[in-house]
Amino acid sequence: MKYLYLFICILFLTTCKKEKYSIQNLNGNSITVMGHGGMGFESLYPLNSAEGILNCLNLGADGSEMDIQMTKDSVMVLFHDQDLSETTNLKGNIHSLNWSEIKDAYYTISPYQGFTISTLDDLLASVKNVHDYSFSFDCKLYKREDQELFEETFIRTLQKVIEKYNLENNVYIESQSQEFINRYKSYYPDMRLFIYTENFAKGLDFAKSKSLYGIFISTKYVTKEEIKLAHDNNLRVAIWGITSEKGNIESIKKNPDIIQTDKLRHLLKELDR
Amino acid sequence: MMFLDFFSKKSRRLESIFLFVILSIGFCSTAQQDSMLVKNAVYAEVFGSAGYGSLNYERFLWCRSHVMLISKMGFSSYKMFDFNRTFNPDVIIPISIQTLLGNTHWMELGVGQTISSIVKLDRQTKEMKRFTHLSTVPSIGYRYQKTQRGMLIRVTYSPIVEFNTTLRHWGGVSWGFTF
Repeated sequence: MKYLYLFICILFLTTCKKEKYSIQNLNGNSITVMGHGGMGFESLYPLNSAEGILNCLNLGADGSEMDIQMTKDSVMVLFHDQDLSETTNLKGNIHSLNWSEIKDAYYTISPYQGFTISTLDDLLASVKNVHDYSFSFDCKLYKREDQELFEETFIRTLQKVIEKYNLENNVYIESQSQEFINRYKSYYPDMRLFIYTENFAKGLDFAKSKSLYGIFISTKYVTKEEIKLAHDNNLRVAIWGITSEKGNIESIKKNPDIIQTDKLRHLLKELDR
Repeated sequence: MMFLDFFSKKSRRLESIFLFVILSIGFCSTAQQDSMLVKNAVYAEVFGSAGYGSLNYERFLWCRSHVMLISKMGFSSYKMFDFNRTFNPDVIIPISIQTLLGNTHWMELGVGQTISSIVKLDRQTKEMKRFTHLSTVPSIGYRYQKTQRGMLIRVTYSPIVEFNTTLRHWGGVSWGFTF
């Protein structure tokens, strides 16, 4: 009878044991855990708010993804949407307004919170031990007439902020625009550039041809085998679009190098961080 | 200390509101009570004047025929821990005066101020700081409430004039009891 109890206990412990992962990637067989815009979609902190990103870092994440835009007077700000009215109390495009016109805008997703838009400089200045973290900058380049000049200024301005904090080795640059990535590569060939794609094959071809650092893709558009193929071509893969705990587990099993998740607490727990 | 700052900063404006409510509650003891047999109510509100929900206490100040005057104070919080992961709760306190018209089935009209004290990043110092704001919340709605002890149900349209600058359409549903 005693042995039966022992057997049941062992059986119980083994069935409850957390799933362990044998990760194989180009990131030292470890996954870099990042919050999506800080704490993700379901948080009370707005996406890209300084408070959300700081909360994400203080929870134990390796870093955070954030959306970057540039104001008319060349200030890099953290904001996702094309028009301010989608999530704040103001109207207009970031690139058509000066920072002084934007700085008092506040996110309207939750009553009374009034979190404001942050500049990239302000955020990095408030992160303690900033070199301990990684940051993925999703460059939002909403089309303009003077796109070429705008992108050039964007790159120079962003790089200036990165260099101010000596974060060249802590930053990933993402963009959907191949022209932008080409331009960035021509100015700063050593930066870690990711092409943001919805088509793995096309993204792989472009990343290979330009010797990029990696591919940035939604988890729904990429398989474990495709990630292996990218690794075989010396390309890292960062995945996003993970909105559930199940999604976290499925994504880990694909062996990506970076995961940007909306379920940060669960992913950290799942990876024993 | 930051939590206590909430009471020290902008204290004059907030003190005047608290004073008003306290005096109002004191006034109720001498106020004329006509047909109302109960004087208090407690209820939980989903959404409503505190944002996503609150616990509220009401004191019935004055009642005559089919008219009643009520003062209300509530409490709510969004987060208990700030973004540095230390215990430092957001505090949201809705205060209001309401007039009820009817009997058992009441129409409710009210106006109030919601004090919100939220922990955010201070751009100047790059440190965490507690910011306190006032927002005006008018309300109109329906209330089911008997003159004796019993259940209270209310449904309100309560737009928030957030930070007294921006209108946000809002409403709430409440359930509680009178005693």
